[in-house]
Amino acid sequence: MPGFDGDAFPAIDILPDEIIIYILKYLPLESILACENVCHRWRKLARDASVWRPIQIVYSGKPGQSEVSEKNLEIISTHSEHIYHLKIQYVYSYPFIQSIIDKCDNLLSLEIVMCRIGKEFDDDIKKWPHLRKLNMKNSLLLLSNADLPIQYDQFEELKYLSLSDFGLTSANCDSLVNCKYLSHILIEKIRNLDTEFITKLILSKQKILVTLHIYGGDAVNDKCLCLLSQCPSLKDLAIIRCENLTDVGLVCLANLKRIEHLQVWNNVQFSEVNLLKTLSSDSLVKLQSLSLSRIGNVSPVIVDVISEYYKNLKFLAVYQCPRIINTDYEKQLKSKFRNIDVVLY
Amino acid sequence: MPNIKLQSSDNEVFPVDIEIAKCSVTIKTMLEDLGVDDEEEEVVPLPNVNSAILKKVIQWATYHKDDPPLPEDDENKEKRTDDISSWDADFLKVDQGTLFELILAANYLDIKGLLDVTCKTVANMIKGKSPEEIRKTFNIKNDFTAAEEDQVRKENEWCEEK
Repeated sequence: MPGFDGDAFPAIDILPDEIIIYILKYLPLESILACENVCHRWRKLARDASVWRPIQIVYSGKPGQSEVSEKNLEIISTHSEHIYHLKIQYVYSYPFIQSIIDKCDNLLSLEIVMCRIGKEFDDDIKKWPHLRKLNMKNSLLLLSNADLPIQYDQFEELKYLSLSDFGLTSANCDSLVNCKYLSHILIEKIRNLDTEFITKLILSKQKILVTLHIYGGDAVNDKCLCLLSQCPSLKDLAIIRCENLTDVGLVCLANLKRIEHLQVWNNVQFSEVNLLKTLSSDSLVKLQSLSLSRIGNVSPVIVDVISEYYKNLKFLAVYQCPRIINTDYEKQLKSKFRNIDVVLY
Repeated sequence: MPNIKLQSSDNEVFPVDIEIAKCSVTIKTMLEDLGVDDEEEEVVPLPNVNSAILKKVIQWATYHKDDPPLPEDDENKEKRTDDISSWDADFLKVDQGTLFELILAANYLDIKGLLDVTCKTVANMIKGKSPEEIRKTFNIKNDFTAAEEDQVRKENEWCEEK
């Protein structure tokens, strides 16, 4: 047969474009790059936006990760318009960070963690109006007396925001309230927020809120917990300083039907009775991780309930809970939880 | 159990349990649109699938008839290709031509489970290979010009140094 190289079976060419793309989506980045260089047709398909959309490119300034990072830097240069998810970590020169992010016009998610961020970031970030995820966790702001008043509502599609100890002040906190789709809010390092703002924030996100990590302190009161308990999608709640909360707020937590991760720290007001009642509720026994560090009335009885009924639990922290710390309870505790991580001290 | 008849492109007729046939969204929709009458055995023509491939598809669907529904695809999750069951892996020990025709049939009949597992199989044939090895594996003609090849080589220099 003319035109056939002796092969009787139909070749891969019989597959339509959308199927080749479907196959490419199963491949790791290095294979996608190899496919680009197979032939013209594959090059076109391997550069399809849908192939690149799930891919995250990481640049790390950490020694030991430089080989991968150099390669990824090269990929950012050659494929800048295809980079949708970028993560930069351990880079302490902001001009260098700028030289990377400047190339990427189409970012949907940007993570700059454990880095030093310059004041110009406020301006630089305007380049990506479609940003859905912004993460600045554990980064430092150069010029520590300055702040970074990013107007978050310029990103209409923002769903995920994680901040370090800067990035939210009275000048821009209203912009957070205005983000219509923001469902993951991680602002546990930000202090000095007020109750009025937090109440407004929770109310504005009540239907969609999935993750909330918040400092707490004076700003989060029992009423805030009551409002949070009416967030039907809330899966992950962390309140770092809970001194101001009482049993009134505590018992509300039992209403969180979909909660998977709960972290409440630093409280002496919760009574043993209500801790026991709340932690035995149908919703909380489904938790995958629970952290009750420095909660005064966590007693051996409560730990027993957790060990017996929490079937999905993978992580438990009862760090510095005074009623279980002083006894020789540690050994017993370790034997109760054989298959999960327990943090005691 | 009520059967329906599936007719391949080369006019062979396969009687199939209706519930098994319905794992194909295409057939399911067709039957719903037609409004099947239980009394009469329908003949569904499948002009895009030949008898050898249709036989394989029915074999796959019969084995997987009790599978739970597949979870929704999550765009952001990295897709695995190492989770092919040993039955599927055995089932897919076929020549490339059959594999590609199965993909086309799964796509046309809209059987997501079969489409996924066949595409994963092809992905596994690509993983870890250089462009030249991929061309060899699938008998693809290199249609880049010498100049384009040079360009590619330049861009990928960092790739090759080890």
